[in-house]
Amino acid sequence: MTSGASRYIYVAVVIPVLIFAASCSTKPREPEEVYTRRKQADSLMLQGYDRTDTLHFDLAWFSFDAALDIYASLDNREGMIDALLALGRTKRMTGEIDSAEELFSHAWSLSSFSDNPRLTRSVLNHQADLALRQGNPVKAMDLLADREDEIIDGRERSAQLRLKGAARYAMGSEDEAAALLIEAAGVAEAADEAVAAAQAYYKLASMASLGARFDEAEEWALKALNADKSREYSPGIAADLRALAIISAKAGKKEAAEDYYRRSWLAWRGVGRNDDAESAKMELEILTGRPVTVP
Amino acid sequence: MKFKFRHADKIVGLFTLVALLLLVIITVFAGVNNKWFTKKIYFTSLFTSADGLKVGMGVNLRGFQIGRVKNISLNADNRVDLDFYIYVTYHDRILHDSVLVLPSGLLGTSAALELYPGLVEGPPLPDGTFIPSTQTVEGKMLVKTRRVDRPAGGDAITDILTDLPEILDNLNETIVSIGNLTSSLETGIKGEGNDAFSSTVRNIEDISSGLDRSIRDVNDVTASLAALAVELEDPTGLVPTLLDPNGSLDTLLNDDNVLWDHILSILVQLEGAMAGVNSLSASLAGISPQMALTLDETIRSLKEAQKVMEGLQNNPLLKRGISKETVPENPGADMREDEF
Repeated sequence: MTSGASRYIYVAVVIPVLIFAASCSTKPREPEEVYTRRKQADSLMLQGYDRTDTLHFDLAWFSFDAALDIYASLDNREGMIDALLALGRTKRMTGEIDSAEELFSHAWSLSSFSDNPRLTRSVLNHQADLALRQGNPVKAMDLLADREDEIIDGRERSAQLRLKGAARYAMGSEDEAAALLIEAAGVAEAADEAVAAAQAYYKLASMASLGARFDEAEEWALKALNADKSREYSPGIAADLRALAIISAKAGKKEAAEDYYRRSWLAWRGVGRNDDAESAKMELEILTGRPVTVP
Repeated sequence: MKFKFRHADKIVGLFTLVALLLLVIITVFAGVNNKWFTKKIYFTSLFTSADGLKVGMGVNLRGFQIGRVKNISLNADNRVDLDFYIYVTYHDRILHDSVLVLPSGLLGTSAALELYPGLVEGPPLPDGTFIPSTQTVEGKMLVKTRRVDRPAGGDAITDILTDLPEILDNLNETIVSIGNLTSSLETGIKGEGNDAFSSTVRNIEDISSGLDRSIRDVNDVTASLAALAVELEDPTGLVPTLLDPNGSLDTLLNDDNVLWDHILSILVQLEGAMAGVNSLSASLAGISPQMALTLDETIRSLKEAQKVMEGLQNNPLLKRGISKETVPENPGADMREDEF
């Protein structure tokens, strides 16, 4: 074989093999695919929701605010709206209504440039909730009225119906309120949104309890508890257990009330809401007439 | 008859060429897979012990290998200096406040270090920067004050196991401080030593703050155990789901509540111990060897809790149902604030 032929063999074999090897090499996945700044903002949102659940509103504010900054830098409109709503809800819960209104109004401005009806509905629901808390169910009903492009399923639809039910109840139409809340629970269950369904059941239990229909109230509260359990939503479970405790106590079922108070006490502690845990413990002590310790 | 290949030299040459080619290909593959040609950014860290550390072990971020340990050495202060590098592709994740963690695995320590990136916006840390580990006070505080992006979705068991070692360390430190205080008090009373009184006062301040921190930590663990107890009680809760995500409750319910009772007994012990600690810490007069005994009781309870949690976590059945990373979902406007 001449040296020229060897060179040809070399060129014919080596170069294709190298090209093949290069194309088959294990290229590391792009960072953007697996872990982006969006994820960082998402983590902050989760942290904020957890902190809201444990009533640490100052800390929740910092988390949502930081998430908002990141979403804004990414021009992520959906994230920005969710962060603004979360910030507004934090302000609403700390009684800073003007700030809450302002934040919801920012969210509304952003959502009006969006073609996403879910986002629009989410903003309107938050504004309606605020109106309800301010004692203005008529304004809430206006905000909750169906729009042209109204969504007809999912969590936001369920929340819309639930808030409508709450508004109707505030206006004195209990039957209509109950029908809306049952519809809200149905919509939530159809969308596999157990926690949203539990919220509707919880409201139904509250209405029945305030109407002294304790058996019905217990039934709704148990439904709420089961729905929350299916999602391991601890703040919901704790609230449901406390509701069941109050209902049982009002119905004269002392033993059941004691059991529910004890469980809600543990559950609140587990969630980290020490004030609620202490209240449940105190209510349990009043009920039993003796100091209680961990079971 | 003499047997002869006509082109023997050429065939041997070809085989040699093919062998060389294969060697080159394998080398290229190995290089690419081991990222020999990828640019690396070097960092340093500090650990208290080299247990579980080894040269070449991976540095992971949320399960993805983003770098490796380059070197481990014992420094002049008997601490462990660790040099590691991050592939340049992931350099933008190494933000200010990032922390390096040696996770505990099923058989002692994990095969890779975990990096928790800082939550501070800004440019990535430059080459040669020191990144604290959770075995240093700085690293512990960064994690504790939630300034790092720690993977969400951890279950109660994992959370308890992550927090317990640090709490036990703090409690042990407090006990040692109490021991030192007792001897310095004696020295002060006897009028011996240099500046005995002021050093005693400083010790008291240190112990008080250390104790407050420990009490908060133990209260947190007690709350986590309470949450776990509730979850155990809940037939659709975390532990049953982990034991069998398909919903069969046999495994949990057939243990005659042994696990449930055990968790509750630990809670009772912790409650008792903490009541003691709280009453003793109410006044400085309470700082005495008796407090050390009470704290020791707390530590024993916590260690027992740790064993139970490890038992739960090491159960291979638990590995089946670990949940995926949670995506934030707006929980809605209204919370459960209704009257009953």
